[in-house]
Amino acid sequence: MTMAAGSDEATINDARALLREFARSQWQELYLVNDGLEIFIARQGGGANPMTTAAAPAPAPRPEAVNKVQLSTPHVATLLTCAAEGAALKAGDVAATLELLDETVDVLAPVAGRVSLVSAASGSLLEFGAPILVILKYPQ
Amino acid sequence: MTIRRLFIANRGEIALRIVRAAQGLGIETVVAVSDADRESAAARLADRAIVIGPAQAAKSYLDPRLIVHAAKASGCDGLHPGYGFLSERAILPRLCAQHGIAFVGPEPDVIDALGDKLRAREMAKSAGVPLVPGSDSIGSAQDARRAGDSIGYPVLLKASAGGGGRGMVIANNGEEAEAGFHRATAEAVAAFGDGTLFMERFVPEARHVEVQLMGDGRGKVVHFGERDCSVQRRYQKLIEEAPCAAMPETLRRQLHESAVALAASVNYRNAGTAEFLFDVARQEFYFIEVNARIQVEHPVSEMISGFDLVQEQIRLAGGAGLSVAQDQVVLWGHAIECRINAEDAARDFLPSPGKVTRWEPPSGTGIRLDSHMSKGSVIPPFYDSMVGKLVAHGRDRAEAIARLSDAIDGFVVEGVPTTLGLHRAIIQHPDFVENRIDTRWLERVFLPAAKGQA
Repeated sequence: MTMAAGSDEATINDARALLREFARSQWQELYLVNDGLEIFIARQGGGANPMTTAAAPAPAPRPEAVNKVQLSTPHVATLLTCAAEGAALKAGDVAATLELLDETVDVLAPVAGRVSLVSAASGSLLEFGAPILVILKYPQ
Repeated sequence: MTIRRLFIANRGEIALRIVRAAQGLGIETVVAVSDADRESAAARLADRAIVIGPAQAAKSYLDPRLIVHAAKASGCDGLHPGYGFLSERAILPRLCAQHGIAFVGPEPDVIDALGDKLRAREMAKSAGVPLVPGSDSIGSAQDARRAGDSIGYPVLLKASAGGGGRGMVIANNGEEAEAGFHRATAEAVAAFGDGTLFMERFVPEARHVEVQLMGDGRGKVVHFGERDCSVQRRYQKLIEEAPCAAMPETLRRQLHESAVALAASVNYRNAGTAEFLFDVARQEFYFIEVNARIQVEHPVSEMISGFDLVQEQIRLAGGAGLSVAQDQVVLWGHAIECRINAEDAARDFLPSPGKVTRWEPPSGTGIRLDSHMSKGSVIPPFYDSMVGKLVAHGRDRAEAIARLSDAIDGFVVEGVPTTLGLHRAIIQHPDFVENRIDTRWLERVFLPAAKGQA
């Protein structure tokens, strides 16, 4: 069981009650998100735990391989500018800029490296999670 | 101007409903989806779906910037907010106006005014609409006691910025009024960020009655009859019906006139519902609030009028006038709706998200189901647990109940528990059949008895 919650007594009692019900039930796994409580319970051999996999905030760089980092769109936006393929970036550099209504949002490079693939066209509307570019990390 | 491409800023069954209504008018549709709703029924039916954010509503459906940006960038010239989410937050129509998108709903100033319960009461008073005997804002515990003494106990302390039954405290005497003031203020600040309170008479045997309205924004308002939504649990409606069979004809006419007068006094535009408390013992009705949006239970009004309210909303937002005059609205028969949730009624209504492994909905004369579900649908844990609204229409209330009962019997859902069984038990209960219910009936009479038998 994995739980993220406040430590007040009411929430702890809720979690205990939930665990009791789960133990008495036929369920194999349960994932509940509610006010102030996120809880995942599984019997042995149950499914993947969404809490450990969902912990990273968007944009989560998804490594395709150990030496590559994918930058994805953090929320729907229009792509304004993007580093070009082959460009060298330091960690913290602005890799791309997005437009959301009248505001500009910077997408920063999480690591140093070279831009190996640009997947999005400037001026296009990007959905949440859409790939923007891939950074090939400099060898350590 | 007529809308050519409509953006739907909602999810679930209402998103599907709006897509269907727009398609019926020959309008293109673009629907906003969160990461969890990529494969939703609305997404599949619409011309385009745009993934605006992650599953969490706060980062998707509740972010007006993401919504309006997606609408504008996809070439939409109209936006329908559905119900819940941002439908009564004035920031959405304001942003729409700034970016040249027609909002399917009232003016933002009207939304703001009606969302403030105290201001709404003032507007009702000016329009000659009866109010629940009550007070202006209460500034102190002593004020609370004075107001309670003057109104007559029992009384209800309510948050001016509130709704959905939250932040309400009952007081049976002066001491409880003073103590209740402090508690209600704290709850109101915590829930709505605004501790302003007012007080109303508490009516023990009350029915919740509301009137469906449609305005052209220029002072003309038409009504589509009233609805009775008295079967409630924790201030959430479970069953709604049209008309209110418990209210005599003359009183219902006065109710309609009051509701229309109120909406006309503010040049109300688009769909809205005026909610009233019906004091059965005194045979009086009192204004509670206006919901400035289309409501979950709009289908029962559509069933008795044969009218498509959502299409009318879209037409009005495109600049058209009302399609009908009042004398062209003909109400016939009786309709009852059950809101079906994926909840385990036996386990204190525990929300039970999961995958629907079998979905065999009912059909037949007078049966309507508004649902986005199908076999294989996954109900995500991030939003409400409503899986659909089952509606039955008949020539009278008895026939509607019979048809609804048969429909529930023929409805097979597996993979998640639903409240279908609960609804069937409610509509077969003698109190419901003989229409002796009030807003506290479900929690005080039905549920305790059902628990005792479990």
